[in-house]
Amino acid sequence: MNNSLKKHFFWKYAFGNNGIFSGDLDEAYLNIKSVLRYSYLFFFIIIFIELPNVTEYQNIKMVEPIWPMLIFQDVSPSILALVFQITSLVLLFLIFYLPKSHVLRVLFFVFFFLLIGLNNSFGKISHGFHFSLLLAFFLALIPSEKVNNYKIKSILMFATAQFFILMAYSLTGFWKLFWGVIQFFTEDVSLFSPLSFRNTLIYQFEHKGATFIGSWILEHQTIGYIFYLIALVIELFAIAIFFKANMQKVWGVLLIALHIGIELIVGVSSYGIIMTIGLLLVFSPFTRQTSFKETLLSLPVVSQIRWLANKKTN
Amino acid sequence: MKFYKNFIVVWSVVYLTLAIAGRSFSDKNEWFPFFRWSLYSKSKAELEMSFVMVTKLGDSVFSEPKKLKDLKNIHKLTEPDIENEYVKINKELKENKTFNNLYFKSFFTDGSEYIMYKKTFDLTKEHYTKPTITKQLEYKNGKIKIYE
Repeated sequence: MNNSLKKHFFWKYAFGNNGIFSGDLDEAYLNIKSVLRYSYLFFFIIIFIELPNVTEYQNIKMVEPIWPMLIFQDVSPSILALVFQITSLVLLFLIFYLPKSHVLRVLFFVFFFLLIGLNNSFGKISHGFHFSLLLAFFLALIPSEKVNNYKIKSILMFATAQFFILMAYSLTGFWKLFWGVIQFFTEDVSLFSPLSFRNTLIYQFEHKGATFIGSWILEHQTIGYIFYLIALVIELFAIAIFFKANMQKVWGVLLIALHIGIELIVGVSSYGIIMTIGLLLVFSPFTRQTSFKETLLSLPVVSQIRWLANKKTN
Repeated sequence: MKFYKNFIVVWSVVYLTLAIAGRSFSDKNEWFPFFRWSLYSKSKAELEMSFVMVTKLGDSVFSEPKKLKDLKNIHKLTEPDIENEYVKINKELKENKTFNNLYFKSFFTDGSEYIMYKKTFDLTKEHYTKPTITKQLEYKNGKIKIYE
């Protein structure tokens, strides 16, 4: 089976030096199984934290409900929250006892989707749980052990989940750079101005109130701007580490550090995102530790330059 | 096996298409849950912020005007929801000079009175000065008065 993957136009890159599929795939599968169990514990925590919504929603109506909620718009949001949350929790309990059940995972995804959909049907769409939803979606696509080649299929689906999380970060970096270039030629302030991050903070603080560290950063905007550029690099090159088993944990830690910085400086909380990154990247089933030098040589751009140089030599 | 091998490519195309098309073709600028992840992508050179000061809510008169955002216990709206509503009002004001719509309908019951202001910051300067504040509209006796 690995041979057919080695010839696949996309997955063949996963077998390269320090590639995610170049290690022991049986061990990777066992790691996926354990991450799967922790993932459902993580969903349990999310739903538990969201339980007060049943009371929060008791006197309000949905405002511009998103499409999955259109059929429920005449139902009380409190009742919907109660039904979605209790059903999700019951499904999670069942998953804890029957972790091999594919049907339960699919059903859990459906109810979790409805729950997040409901939470986003009161005006603005919040993106704090989009990654968690993405994780639930890909876990629902991991096949049961009754299916042929279930190990490699599970590995592929898990790796696909990692890809989409990393792609989301690269998209964030890409749009910053894209609009940065456009605004550089058309506006007074762009990504390439030290005022850009300061202005983002002013905007944020006017809406949500200033943070303790953010207020200090406003007074020391050059330091803030350096942080901002580092964040941009971490985001932009996230996708470039996808195939590298020795970089997944490194990037996972960097992304978590990025969110800690966002929380402390900007004041945007994202515990659901941090948990997803932890499960997919920090606890990556493909992770491999290499020497400090080798890790440095595997960094994005550095590894691409090495690859090009090798290609030229050969 | 083909499904699992090629899913990453097919789903990337589907995801990116819906995420990018959602920006232009959906009311909320995105089709949940397909988001293009363009968070904080544009730098701001000017900041305009609307805010509403409520003087009367139904029959209750406040001793001094209260910020709409500070009345969360009554309206139950979150800050982003209120901001969203301001964005819509400003869009309507720009597009429609005969604007006569009343937002926050379920909140401002008969007899309510409020004034909507706009705060403007010039963020092109290293040491930006205090914002300028201008009146945008006033709601009194069931009628809306618009200021230029």
